[in-house]
Amino acid sequence: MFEGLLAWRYIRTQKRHSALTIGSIAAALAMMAFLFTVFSTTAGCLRSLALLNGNYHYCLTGLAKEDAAAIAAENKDYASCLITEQEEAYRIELFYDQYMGDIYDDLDAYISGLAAQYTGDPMAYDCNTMLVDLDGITLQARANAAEIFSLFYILVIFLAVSLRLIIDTAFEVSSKERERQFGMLRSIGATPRQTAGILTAEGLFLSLLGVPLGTGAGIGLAYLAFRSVKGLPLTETYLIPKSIVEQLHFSVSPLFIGISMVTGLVWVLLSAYGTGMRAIRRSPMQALTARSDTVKKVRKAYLYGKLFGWKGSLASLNNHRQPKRYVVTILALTISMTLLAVFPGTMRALQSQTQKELSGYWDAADPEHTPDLEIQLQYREDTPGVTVPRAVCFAEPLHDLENSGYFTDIDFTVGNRGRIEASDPEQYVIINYLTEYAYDQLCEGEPPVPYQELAESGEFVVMTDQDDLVSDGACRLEITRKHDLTEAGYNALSPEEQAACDVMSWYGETLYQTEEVHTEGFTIAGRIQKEGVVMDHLVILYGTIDTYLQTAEALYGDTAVHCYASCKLKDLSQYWEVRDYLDNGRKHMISYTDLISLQKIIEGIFMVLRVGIQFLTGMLALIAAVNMINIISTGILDRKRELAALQSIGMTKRQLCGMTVLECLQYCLTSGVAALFLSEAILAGTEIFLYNVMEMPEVTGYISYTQPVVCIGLVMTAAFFVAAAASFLPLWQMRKEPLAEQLRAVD
Amino acid sequence: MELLEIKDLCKTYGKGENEVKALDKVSFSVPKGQMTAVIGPSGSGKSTLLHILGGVDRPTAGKVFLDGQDVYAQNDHHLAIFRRRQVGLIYQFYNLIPVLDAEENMTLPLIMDGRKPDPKRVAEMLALMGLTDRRHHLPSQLSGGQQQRVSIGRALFTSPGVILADEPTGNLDSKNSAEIIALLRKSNRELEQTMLIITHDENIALQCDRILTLADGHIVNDVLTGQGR
Repeated sequence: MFEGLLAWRYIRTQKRHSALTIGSIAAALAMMAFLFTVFSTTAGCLRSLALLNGNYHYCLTGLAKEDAAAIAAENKDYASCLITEQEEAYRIELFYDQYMGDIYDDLDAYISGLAAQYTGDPMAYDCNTMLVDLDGITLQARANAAEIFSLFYILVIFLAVSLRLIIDTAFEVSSKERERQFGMLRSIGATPRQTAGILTAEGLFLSLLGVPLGTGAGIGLAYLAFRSVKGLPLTETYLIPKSIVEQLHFSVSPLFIGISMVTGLVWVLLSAYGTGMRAIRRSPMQALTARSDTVKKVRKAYLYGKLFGWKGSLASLNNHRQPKRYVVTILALTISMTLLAVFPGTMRALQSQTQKELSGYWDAADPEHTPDLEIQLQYREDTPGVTVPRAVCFAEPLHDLENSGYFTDIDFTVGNRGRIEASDPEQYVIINYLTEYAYDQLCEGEPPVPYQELAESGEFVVMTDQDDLVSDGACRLEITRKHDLTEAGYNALSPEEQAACDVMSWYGETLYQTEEVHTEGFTIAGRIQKEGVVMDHLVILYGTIDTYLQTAEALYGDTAVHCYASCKLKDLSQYWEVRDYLDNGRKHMISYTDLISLQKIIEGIFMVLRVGIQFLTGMLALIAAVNMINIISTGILDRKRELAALQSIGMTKRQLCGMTVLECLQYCLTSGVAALFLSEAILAGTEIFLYNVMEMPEVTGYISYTQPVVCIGLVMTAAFFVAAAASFLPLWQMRKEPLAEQLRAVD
Repeated sequence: MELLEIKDLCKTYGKGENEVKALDKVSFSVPKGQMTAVIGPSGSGKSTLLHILGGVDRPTAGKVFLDGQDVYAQNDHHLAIFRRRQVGLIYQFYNLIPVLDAEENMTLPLIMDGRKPDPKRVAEMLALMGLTDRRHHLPSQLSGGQQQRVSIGRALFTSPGVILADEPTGNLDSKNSAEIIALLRKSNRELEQTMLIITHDENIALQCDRILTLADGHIVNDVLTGQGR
């Protein structure tokens, strides 16, 4: 086994190359192990969360004791079943431990059939959907899981290809340096297979260290990431319930780690064998006479030469010696720079749009004023036949909210439409009633009339862009008064009167309303000056909540107008207390929309997306950096004799450094310029897409064309420093050796 | 007039038991325009001597004067400029830059000096080296003899004070060797170049004006061949 002997000797003597190859293998494996561990931890956490819903896949409820026993006895396909008593009935929990698609075409339909057979209600069962999906119990579950995991698979494929590239590069460098040795071995009788076997054996030996090292590093990295996520104030800041946080556990899947290690090992062996096969394509004579610095074809560097003179020209020619590796490195650098540049703005636009789409409340331009909770208020009078919330009776629930001490910025805005009497039909008036907070917000701290004064007088302030529409003092408005009818009252109306009625659904009840237009007098006490806010032909009158409460029935009738209070939490840490307060026994609040939790969920989703894309970007950047460091440092070491020759004919050390700096700069400049063009094109495309296809013109404000310039500039600078360090280190090492020694160096 | 003066030149490698004296108090001088051959067995210090004369390797002791200037009194930066302007080095394995074509390799020292090559001189030098039709070929596209001619062209292009050649024909066949030596001799005569050639080939040595024999770091023989004018 001289292959093994030679491979081992080479590893021991060429420590730099060995370290580089082990480093590349370990980096590749670390990334794969990291990704697999993150995936298994996520899957484990999701399964724990699914088990929180119940330790079953299906659960039939409302059963008689003997029926539960009959179901348990009917077939034994389940792995376990548990019969428990619940509210004077029995329930049976079924747990499966294998794919059931082969036995039941539709397990869900089968369980539903059982429920119908024994309880008469086909819906008397519960399916723990997440657990069914995660365990892949049914065909549909498998399809769902495949859908969820497809993104992961794409990522894995992408990763695998990228890792192969890193490992390949490392072996390519190593074999290139030994071309002559391979030629010599073959000239003294080594067969091509034996020659390729040296590199394969070397790959195997290096894997023995690199694969466990990388796997350990990947798992360690994943654990650190998990600890950092768990260390976040998930309950306090991200409002994730404690019960869920407690279920987050770090888990390493031996299967996944095995797959990762085997994939890594196979990749290394394939790379090593492939490189060996490439090395033996040349005849022994060709290999013996070859020099590692032989260049057969070279692309002239006109532009770089024009920009940086002869040093630039020489630097560019040097970079193009290995065009394949140069292009791959530039490509990886360009893509990672583009992702970094494009990603923040596009994500912000998407996030704000998602928030707006989902809630309907968020103001993307002013997130500071987004309420945390939208609470629907109600007051049920004991009036027979009137069960709907009454517009006039919101004082009590409003005061209840104020007195709770949990909220700030309670905004209870009610309003109605009217028309200035006998005015142009195009003109109309909106009448709003504000809380003191909302009034202050509107007036930006400079109210024309103090709120309390306005509340006591029952007067209004006006806001309009056309002062001639309404003058200070008394004015009369035509407004609509609504009146709720009982069902009997509605039925008693004539068909014509019924046709004029509004019939609507209100939380399961049917509302019947009549409308009547009447004229009322209002007094204008002052004006709020805000140019360009109010449309033409529009007048907005603002009164106080007190005014509304005192006059609403007379002005608007006895029906609901608006009955939502928007609030902000005083202290986010009281979130769970507030949830208890709202959930338990608040008779005046029928429901609430938890905007803050929704927002946190969206933030969480986007955070995960961001982390995912950052991981991808980081991975690309790492590939680019490893390739760049590799190509630059080995490029310099390979050219040791050539660089010495240049110095022997008069190149100064400063000129040498200048040339290598320009080599580094070319990588960064080329990829930076390419990334800039690509980023701007992507941003323009996104803007066109959002504006024309998605019709979201407001979102395009988040797209900044200057951001990529700054971002790419920063990454370019960082990449340049990495590249410069990669070139200066071998140069610095070479300086220790006399020039004459370097000139004697053999390939 | 002595162009090159070497006084008590010593070069030692290693320390203690591993100490090797490559050159031991070597002294000699070379007048302007003389073509000198340095011969001697392997390990006698020939290449070390050439590297020290060319400003590539610093001596352990002793002095080298070129045109009266103490070569090693200069710092590394000025030493590089000295190599660029006053010395032309020719190596056995050519040491051409593989990404540059013949013309670019030839004019490189001048370009490094921030000067623009005169196209007329480039054409003349290419013609002198017989490379006019190979001017845009990369080293890998040239034969060994052609590569060595590019290397000689590079050494001569800046018209340096001295040309130092380290076994310039060591890698060539006899026909190419004869051509290269003829070319060097022609340059020596036509351009009055001072030359120091390291060689193992006695025939080449005999074509020079003077032969220095080195053994174990000492000059053991110094003879004039009668080839001088």
